[in-house]
Amino acid sequence: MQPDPKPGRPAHDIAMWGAPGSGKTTLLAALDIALMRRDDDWRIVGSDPASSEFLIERTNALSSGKVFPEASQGLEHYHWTLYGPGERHRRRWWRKAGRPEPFEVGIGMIDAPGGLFSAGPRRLDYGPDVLDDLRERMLNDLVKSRGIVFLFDPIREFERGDAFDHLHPPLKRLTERMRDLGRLTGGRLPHHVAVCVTKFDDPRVLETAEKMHLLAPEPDDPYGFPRVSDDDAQDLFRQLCDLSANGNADMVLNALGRYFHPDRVRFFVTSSIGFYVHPQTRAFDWHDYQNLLPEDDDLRIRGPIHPINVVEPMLWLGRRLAADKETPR
Amino acid sequence: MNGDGARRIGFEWALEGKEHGSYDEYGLLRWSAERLAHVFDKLRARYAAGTPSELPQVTIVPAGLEDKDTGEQSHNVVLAIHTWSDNRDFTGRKVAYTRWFFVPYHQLQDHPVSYQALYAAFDALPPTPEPPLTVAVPALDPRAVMPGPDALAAAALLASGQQVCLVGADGVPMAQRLRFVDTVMALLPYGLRTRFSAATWTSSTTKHRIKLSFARYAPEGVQAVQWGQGADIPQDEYSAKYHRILRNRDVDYPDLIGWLAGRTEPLSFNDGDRPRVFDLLHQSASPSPPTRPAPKPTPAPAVSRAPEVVEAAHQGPTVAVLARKLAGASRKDTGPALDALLAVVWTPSDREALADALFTYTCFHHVIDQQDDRDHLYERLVSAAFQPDEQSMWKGKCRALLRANSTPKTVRRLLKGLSRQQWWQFGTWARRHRLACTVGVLVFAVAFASAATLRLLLPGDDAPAQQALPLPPPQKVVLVRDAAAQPYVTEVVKEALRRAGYQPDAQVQGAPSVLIGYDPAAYDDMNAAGLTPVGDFPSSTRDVLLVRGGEGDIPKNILVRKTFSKDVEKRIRELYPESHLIRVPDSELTESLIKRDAEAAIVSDGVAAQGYTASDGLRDLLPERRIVVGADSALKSALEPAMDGLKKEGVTSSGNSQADAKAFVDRIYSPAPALASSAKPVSEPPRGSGDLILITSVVAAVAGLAGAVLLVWRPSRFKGSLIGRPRV
Repeated sequence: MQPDPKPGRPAHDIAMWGAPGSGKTTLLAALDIALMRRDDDWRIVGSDPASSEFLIERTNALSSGKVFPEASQGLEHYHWTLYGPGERHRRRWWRKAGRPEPFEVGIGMIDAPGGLFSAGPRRLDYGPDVLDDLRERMLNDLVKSRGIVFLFDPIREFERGDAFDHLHPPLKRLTERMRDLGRLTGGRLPHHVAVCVTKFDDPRVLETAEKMHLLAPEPDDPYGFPRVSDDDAQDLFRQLCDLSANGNADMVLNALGRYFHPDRVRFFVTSSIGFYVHPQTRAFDWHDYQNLLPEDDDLRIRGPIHPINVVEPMLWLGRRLAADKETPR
Repeated sequence: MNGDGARRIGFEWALEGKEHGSYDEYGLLRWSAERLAHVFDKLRARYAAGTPSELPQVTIVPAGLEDKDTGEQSHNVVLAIHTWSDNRDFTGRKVAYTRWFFVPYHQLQDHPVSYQALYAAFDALPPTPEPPLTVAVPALDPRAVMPGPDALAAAALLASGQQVCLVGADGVPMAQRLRFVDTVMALLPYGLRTRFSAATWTSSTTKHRIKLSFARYAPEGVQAVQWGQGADIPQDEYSAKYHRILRNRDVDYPDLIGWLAGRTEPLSFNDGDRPRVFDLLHQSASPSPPTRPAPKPTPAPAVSRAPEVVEAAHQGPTVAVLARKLAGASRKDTGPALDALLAVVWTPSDREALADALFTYTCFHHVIDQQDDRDHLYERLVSAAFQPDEQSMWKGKCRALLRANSTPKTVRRLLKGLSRQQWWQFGTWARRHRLACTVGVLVFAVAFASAATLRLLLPGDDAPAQQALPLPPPQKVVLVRDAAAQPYVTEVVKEALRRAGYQPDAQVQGAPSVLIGYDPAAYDDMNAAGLTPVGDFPSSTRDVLLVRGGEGDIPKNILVRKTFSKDVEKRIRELYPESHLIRVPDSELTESLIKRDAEAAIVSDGVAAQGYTASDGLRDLLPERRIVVGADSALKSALEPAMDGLKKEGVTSSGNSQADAKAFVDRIYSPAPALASSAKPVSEPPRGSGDLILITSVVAAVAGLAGAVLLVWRPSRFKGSLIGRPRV
């Protein structure tokens, strides 16, 4: 039997939420690569063998095999622990500045097939309030979770325009369930939400950001990748909503603001595979930056993976949830 | 029914997947009956096993339906075949197809079939079969099933209602996994298939409710069974009992399986049906009980490559007979003949017979060498004939085979590998020897641990003596430093320490454990050495004023040692304001007196210096000096009586400080008459209950050893129960 993952047993459940193909599993697969690419001391460790294996296999598949994960067909639960450098306590008149305590937070990541966030097959003859087994389990997981990584796929929204259809049904059900449990705070859901605008490496997203003058490379980024700061991410999100195929994307933004506490929602612009870097120049090139190219019927990852803003949502959630635990509401 | 024993059974189907370029999630694409579409939807949600990386895989699930009009419950067996399609979704990801096949259970009640047979029949169909929706499926052949320890364990655990996950089968092909599922279910009443679910692959990070699954790691709450090895069976009411029944060497598996295949009334794994299930299992294992109904005649196997060999195995031929058949088998029949031979290898004597046959027929190389998987076949033969824990039994046969020139290289290599196992490799010992050794060591360990614990916990008879004089660690060296030049006090301290069992030494380098000095300077030294004050008493000596040249007024400059009492200095200054006390190190003070540089000096009583005369000028101001003794806190109890005595009697020595000190300590430490009779020498070991416990423990240990030896010499006590059937 799989050993009980006692050490580092996840203290905070975080659910991935997004439409099919929005990149939920890919973002998780890129997490370890993203941590490895950082200069600081952050690392992620599986709290049980199966969760470790996901990190190892998916990381290898994405980095060496350049293979995206297959479409999820079941609810997957990963138990990981994030370790990182702690923050030094500020010196106060009554105490010295302490040595930094290493940061450690356990996370239970729930990865569900994107289709589960839709309203469900209409032919199900269960009755108006009854969900199918898998949706019921996913809803229970959302109730238990304290953090949500919501993935907004601007490409899918541009072509299909169904992000709201994959947000609204479970959001209503979750709110009802939390209300019944008496766990709404101020009439809103208590979750912390990291909203990730994915596929930043796609030219349509990058050029939109460029037109809005939201791009600025990180000062210490050796590759000079363009980035959208977290403060500007919401503006880009809003702009991308305007490009929605059915014009409903603005309701996504409104729904997030109304169902969750605005101070618990933060926006990130992310890319799991990042931009292409030429091996000789080793720098971002505006004329040749696409890392994902079509090849026959397939898509091919050209070069090494340089995830952008993949770790940051997790660290933000980890820190918020850890701080939230210390000061219970 | 067809001529080959197969019967056509009806089915319904549904196809799950994604259309090419689809933005949608997985869903049903097409189906044969609208009324069943929602059933398939429910099933795919209920039994989702995660995202597979390797296909094909098979999932088996039950489907219970209730007729809305009549309320009648119907049972159905659903088989899902997962394969890759040629489709890609909108992100370019591969799309898997799941073909669901729905079989009403009532069709199987008078025609039990295996899951492998169902899979073979359905897998041959196109993705969207056209009517008539029937397939020919052969009946279950009880003689084709050969359970290993893992299947026995899984069946026992399932029968008691537990979820079971096979681990360690990563490289095992799907077909073999499905065969395992069939083997396990063949050991249970057929009616349980109305509630049984299985999957040849599940994700280790997916929570599911599949009864029998394969995964790399067993999820929490699911009982793991190691592929090819088995599992620890909980000693509960059902699983342990059934496991024992199945492992019984007298069980005739084909007979048992054939009979269980006839128990087709629907049953569940729930508590309500468990007594009934176990009643059936118990009946199935009885050789020929009067209560057991006669087994239904099982139909002939649908496909049998060597029917005569299988038939022979069923009727109970010996290893020798089947070995002869294998030796004479054609190339085509070699596989079945070997299967039949290995199927009857069960007891140690069977293995001996097989080893003999290997020698007699030169490892059947003339038939096996013609096979493509010859190495695998040799491996099966050798592993069946030579069990590592029966080395003493087959050592001679192994040697004979290795000596024979005709022994194939593969067999030679395998046998050499087995022979290399050395006596110190515990795992290769016979089971009874391992058991005996383990029991012996355990008895020894428990006996001595008990003795040690009781000795620690129970107080001995010498407790009062310990109170009178605490027992120290034997012969521990204690450094005594005399900074006050008080030989009598030093001797008293040493003698007191000796009485307490220490070895006082003034020569050892290092920090002192006992320090003798004058107040107040000694306190600083004690603090520096981390010692605790244990004695403070008058020294019977005073400081004196030495004045160069003899009597006169109190000199102006007076040298004193650095540690001179500040209180005294203050009083002198008050009375003689013109005099000035100069603090100098002891060495400087001594040198000044020798050189006669100093005008005057205050020194210890008894110190004389040429050219200096003791003056009584400050006699009333110079107090009697006090000796302070500091010691390690551990030594405090050993020294306290002597220190109290010195405080009362004072420091009085006749000149022979050593003898005086011994007499003093004798006097101080002589026990009171009332206690003298009960006090015992410190060094005498405790007796009484401690000895009794020790003797009892030794007797227990010897008894344990004797028991262990008896176990070795009387292995028949455990015969049968410890010998498992090898996986062939």
